[in-house]
Amino acid sequence: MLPRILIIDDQFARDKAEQELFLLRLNAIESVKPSPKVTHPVAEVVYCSGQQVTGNTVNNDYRVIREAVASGWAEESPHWSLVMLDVRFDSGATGPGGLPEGQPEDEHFGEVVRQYLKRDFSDLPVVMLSGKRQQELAERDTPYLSKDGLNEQAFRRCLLRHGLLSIDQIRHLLGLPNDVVVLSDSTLACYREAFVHARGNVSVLILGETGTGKEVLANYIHECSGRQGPFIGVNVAAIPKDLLESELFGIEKGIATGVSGRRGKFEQANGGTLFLDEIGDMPLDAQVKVLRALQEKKIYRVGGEKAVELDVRLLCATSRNLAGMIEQGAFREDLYYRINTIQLELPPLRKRQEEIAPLARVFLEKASRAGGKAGLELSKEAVQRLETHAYPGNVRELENIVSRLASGAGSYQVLDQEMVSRALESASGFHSAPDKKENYRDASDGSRGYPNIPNLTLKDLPDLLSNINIEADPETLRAAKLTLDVAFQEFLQRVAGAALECCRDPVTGSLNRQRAMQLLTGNQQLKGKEPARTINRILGRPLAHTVSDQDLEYLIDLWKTAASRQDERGIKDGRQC
Amino acid sequence: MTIPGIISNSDIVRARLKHSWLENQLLNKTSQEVVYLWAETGWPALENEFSERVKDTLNLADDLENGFSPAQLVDRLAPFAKVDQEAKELIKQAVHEAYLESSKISDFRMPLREDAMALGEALDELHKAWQLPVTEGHEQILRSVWQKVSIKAKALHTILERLPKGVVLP
Repeated sequence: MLPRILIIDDQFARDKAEQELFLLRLNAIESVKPSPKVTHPVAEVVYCSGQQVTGNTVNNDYRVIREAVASGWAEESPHWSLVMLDVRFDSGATGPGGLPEGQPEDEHFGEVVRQYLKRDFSDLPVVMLSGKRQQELAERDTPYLSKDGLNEQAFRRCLLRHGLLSIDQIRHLLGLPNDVVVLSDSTLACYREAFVHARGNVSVLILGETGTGKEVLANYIHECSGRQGPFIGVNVAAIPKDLLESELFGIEKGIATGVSGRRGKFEQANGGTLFLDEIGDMPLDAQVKVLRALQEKKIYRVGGEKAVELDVRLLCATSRNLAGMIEQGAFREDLYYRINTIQLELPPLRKRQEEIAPLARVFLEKASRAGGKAGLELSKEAVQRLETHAYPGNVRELENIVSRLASGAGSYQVLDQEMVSRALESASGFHSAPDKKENYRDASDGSRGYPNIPNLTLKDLPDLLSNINIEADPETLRAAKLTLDVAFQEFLQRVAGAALECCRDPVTGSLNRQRAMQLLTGNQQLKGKEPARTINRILGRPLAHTVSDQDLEYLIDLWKTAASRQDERGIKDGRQC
Repeated sequence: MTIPGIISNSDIVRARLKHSWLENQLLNKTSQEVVYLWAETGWPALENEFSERVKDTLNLADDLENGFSPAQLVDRLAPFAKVDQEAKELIKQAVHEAYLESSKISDFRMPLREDAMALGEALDELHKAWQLPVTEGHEQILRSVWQKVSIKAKALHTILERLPKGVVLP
């Protein structure tokens, strides 16, 4: 059901043309006469004049208003989401042209009504309507909405800020796409706040544990900001320290033999939004340069002397305690205040259990699409089992678990509780925090011991595989098959993601799939349709399937996610050791 | 300087013209919205009401000196109740003359009249354009005339804002 708004304003009762224009500005419909011109209305509006007409005389009358408010405030009737109340009401004898001649008390009738409404309907959310500009109204204690330049966005912001809304109404006003699951009170509050501040150019710091969806929220803020430029995301933790400066600020052409010029992330985001994820991992010297870029609104490429003017909205995120880092001298206080105008905190997934099932369904559909499968479903018990897990890796962990389940399943399969349990057990094993002794397995034959958690490289793989003991036991082999298939496929997909990232054009950012597949297979003759066929094999799809840029980005995402996970675990284990 | 809480009839008219007419009916519209009214709903206020508002403004200009004069307080404030009529008239005349001298209220009369008439002419032009037979480029004509109306309305709004808000003390 749409949010219901009661507008108490004498002008709209007098002038139907004004009434219709106001609805168009708000992108709303009148509940008694929905307009076919508004196809996706924000809200449903009921008008009340607040006046009684007797002959040629118009009187302001609170009783009319009280009756209108009560009609939508009784327990059995749908509540008003918001009451919008004008300040000035013209009353008195109606002169030529229909406008009452006016009375001294007209000027503040709305203010008087507000006091009465507060007395009679204490919880009623009321916003005053005013002809003054919003800047002039900002300082007032009472919420005001300016009629000057009023539009749909301002109306949505006002409703989200002051309205009494159900979950569905909030989602409707936020304009969230179906695949962004926001249902819990805490996440909804975070997204409401994000929407309210999206239009301004203020910096936003998003806090939350790793994998809680900070980048999704940042992207949402950008989408709602109205900024025309692109959204550029950078995971600071995933970039080697030596390369960070050139990644962010770019490189001037010809600073050394063979070096071609490249735009940095700041330049790429010009006119749009730059999202610095894991900013807590940024080294101090890079922090100084970012701070200067923000203060001066211009940057210099590495080796360059010419300033590049910037118009960039900065969003940052971190899972670390920046205030604590400031005390330890690991994070600059001045940068902290610069990036922290608005702070939003995403709760961990374990504190928003109601989102697990819908998120799992979204990820299952996404994985099905990527894997070219249809009709995959989670049984009721499987969903219940998913809801019992603590998800230390948050939404990202849930996505990985569901992707793994999907890639091991055939089309039209119902994923049952047992499959989910197995996937969760393997995830739990992954997340258990081993102590230093357990980190290294002693090889009985005296060969090198191998870490069973992070920082293994591809070079370690042959040795690692040669150390795996394989029993000639049919039961063990049967049980291992499914998990091995899934693990190998995911592993290959990650390697493909890394190969694609290697072959990204540094200037345009475009991906060269032919060169990437040549790199991956070692076959320099791989041309024509073969690169696409190889990618389809890796994705487990029919060979003739058209490979899109989204498919390539999916592979790169898998690689990036795993890489940042390795980094995080490396950091955590390093601390424990 | 005005007296808080004491509103003159001219002030009621000033506030009504500024807010209910100029802000709520003219200055709040884009040319796109005016074209929408023309094409979709009609605009009865343009046909019936706005010429009356122009007349109201001219009347306000004509009565400007008396409208905001503190002389009217002599008949309204309690302390003067026991003063005889002849003395009242003398007091009224004295405060009125002092107020005319100090407030320079008369300086507003001509600009107010001129701006009201200029807006009236622009609205007449819009009214005529409204009724022209629909031809190609009609929307463009409306937009262009509306721009003129907006400029004149803004000018009148500025001068109405500069008028006193209440009875003026000498």
